[in-house]
Amino acid sequence: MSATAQSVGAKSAGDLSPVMAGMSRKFDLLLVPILFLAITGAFHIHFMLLAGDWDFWVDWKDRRFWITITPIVAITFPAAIQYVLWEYFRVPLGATLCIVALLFGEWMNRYWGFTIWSGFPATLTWPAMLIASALVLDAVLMLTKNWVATAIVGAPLFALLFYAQNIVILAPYHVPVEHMGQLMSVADMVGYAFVRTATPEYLRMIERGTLRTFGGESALIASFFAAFICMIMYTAWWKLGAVGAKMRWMKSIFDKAAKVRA
Amino acid sequence: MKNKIISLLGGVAVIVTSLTALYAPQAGAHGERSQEPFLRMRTVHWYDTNFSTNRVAVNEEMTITGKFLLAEAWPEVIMKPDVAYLHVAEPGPAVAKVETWLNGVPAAKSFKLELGKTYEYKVIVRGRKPGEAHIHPMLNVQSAGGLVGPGQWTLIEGVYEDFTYPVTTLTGEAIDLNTYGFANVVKWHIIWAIPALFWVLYWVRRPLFIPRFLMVQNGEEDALITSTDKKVGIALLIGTIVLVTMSSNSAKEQYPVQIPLQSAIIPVEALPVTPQNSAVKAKILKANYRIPGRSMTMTLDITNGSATPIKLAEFNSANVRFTNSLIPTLAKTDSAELWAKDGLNVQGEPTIYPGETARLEIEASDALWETERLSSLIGDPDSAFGGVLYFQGADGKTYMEEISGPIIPTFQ
Repeated sequence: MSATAQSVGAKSAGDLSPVMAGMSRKFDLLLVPILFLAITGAFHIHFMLLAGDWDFWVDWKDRRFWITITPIVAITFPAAIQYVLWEYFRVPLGATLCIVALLFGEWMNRYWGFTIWSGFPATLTWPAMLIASALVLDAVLMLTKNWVATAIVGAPLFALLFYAQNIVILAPYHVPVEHMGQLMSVADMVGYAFVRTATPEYLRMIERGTLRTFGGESALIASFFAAFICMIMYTAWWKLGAVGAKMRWMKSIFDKAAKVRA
Repeated sequence: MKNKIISLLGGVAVIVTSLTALYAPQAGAHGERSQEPFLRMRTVHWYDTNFSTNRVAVNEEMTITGKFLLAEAWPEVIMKPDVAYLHVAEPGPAVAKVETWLNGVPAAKSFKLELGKTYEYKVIVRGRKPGEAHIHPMLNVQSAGGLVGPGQWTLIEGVYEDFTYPVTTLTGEAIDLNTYGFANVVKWHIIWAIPALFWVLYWVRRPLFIPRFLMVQNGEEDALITSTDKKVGIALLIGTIVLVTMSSNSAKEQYPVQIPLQSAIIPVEALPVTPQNSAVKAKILKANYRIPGRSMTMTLDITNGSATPIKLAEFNSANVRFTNSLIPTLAKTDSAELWAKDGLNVQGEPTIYPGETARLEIEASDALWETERLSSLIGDPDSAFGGVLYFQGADGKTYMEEISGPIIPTFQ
């Protein structure tokens, strides 16, 4: 297929020859899966190290730390990859691609590692949802065409939507139960029953600190705090993407491609 | 030539590394022997441990009971048990915890415990994953880690698919804890995957990298986002927010009663001081560990403050029992593999009468010092040992006294 103005955008500086267009498309189809797997590996490790237990276990998904930490950690790679895909290719796909890659890695990890290998029930170890946040981040970047506006509007939405989109799967776990004469949530009960030898109850960093106001609406406060930090994180990682994309070997590859085209 | 050798070596390394995947035996236990001796000898002294059975079917329950004394000689290098949790050590959830009790108090949450005090525990577990598992009672202590008690190989029989963990919520819903909520999780992940994949395919279906890069380089980037793209983007943005709002509202309507995760430090009183755990006093005069002989010798003065004659029956350290075979009444209660049956030799008058102070020379020897990696105590930073002496009283009761002190290794 020739990369014509119609197939790429409204108009073009010049069409690629059919041969070059075919090669270009093969390059796309080769690079997309490689990029996907590379992002999966890198982002998954990053996310496991920084958001780890909060995302691993249902009895860590609290109204404060989980809501605060997860979006802050999760907006990093999307911001950096958005820079590359937007600035060089005008493809508003960075956040969605990163989050889909992350979730793919997480589901592989939870199924093969946690369930099949270690024997934990999947109800204890499911990953949080982040796709709504990513879609909004990409849409805001495309519509505003401005990374500063995306940092101010999109990044807070990324954080604010995190808890909201997960309520639908988390709510059943916060139903109360009585066990041994004590009040517990279903999530507490799941964590209690299925033994994690090295993860005793006290190790959970949940519901701690003094970030409480507005009638106990901890989740709301945590979401807004995360939204503020996400603005900073988005800016920082967008800039990090800019630094990473300045690698000379990439430039030389594209220079050669430009010469071939000329 | 050099490159060929490097390539060859690299290839061999890859093949050898890959071959290791062919040998991946099941991890049955969990490295309890790898803990340094001071963590096992001078922290939690477990005793009277009892497993109700060593064979359970899936869904069948097993009860672990016993007591532990928290050492007064608690190492300075680890935190005191101000936050502790009664737990089970096992290789993954082979058995599921059903109930845990500490001195009659529910142990779903953490405790603040006192050194030098004794606690009685009960743990009820239910067979879950068929196979053989090494199961221990365990006390997790914040910043000190898991301190495991005596273990037992337990055979879990049956079929995993039969396992259930029925619970009734306070809203009256009967649920199976092993699977609860997961179908809903998968459903919503799939629902959200649809717009995500749509968005990815929407862009990937078009020429992606090289033509777009060239256009951006030529300053024609505005042409790359069409009016259709913008409309799709707006629809996606609005649709996403609407779906999030609707789904969260429906969940709140479906589950109107919700509570936050529960976490607390529960107060618990220790077992009362009785003559059995306070009447006998021991003072260590000298202690040596003879490395070639795998034996420990101690000279100590024992004062019998009880009302009955006593005899030294056992020295217990790090869950290893060195027992005096001359006192046959001592029952075996703990794990068989950590029992040095004739491992305790007592020199001196064996019977200590009420009010008397007697000097005893005792030797605790067995290969267990080596196999349980306790002989490495000479590598500990404070070169000290700890344990509990058990005395058999003429009244049929057992008297106990914690001991600890410095130890000198003997290399010949």
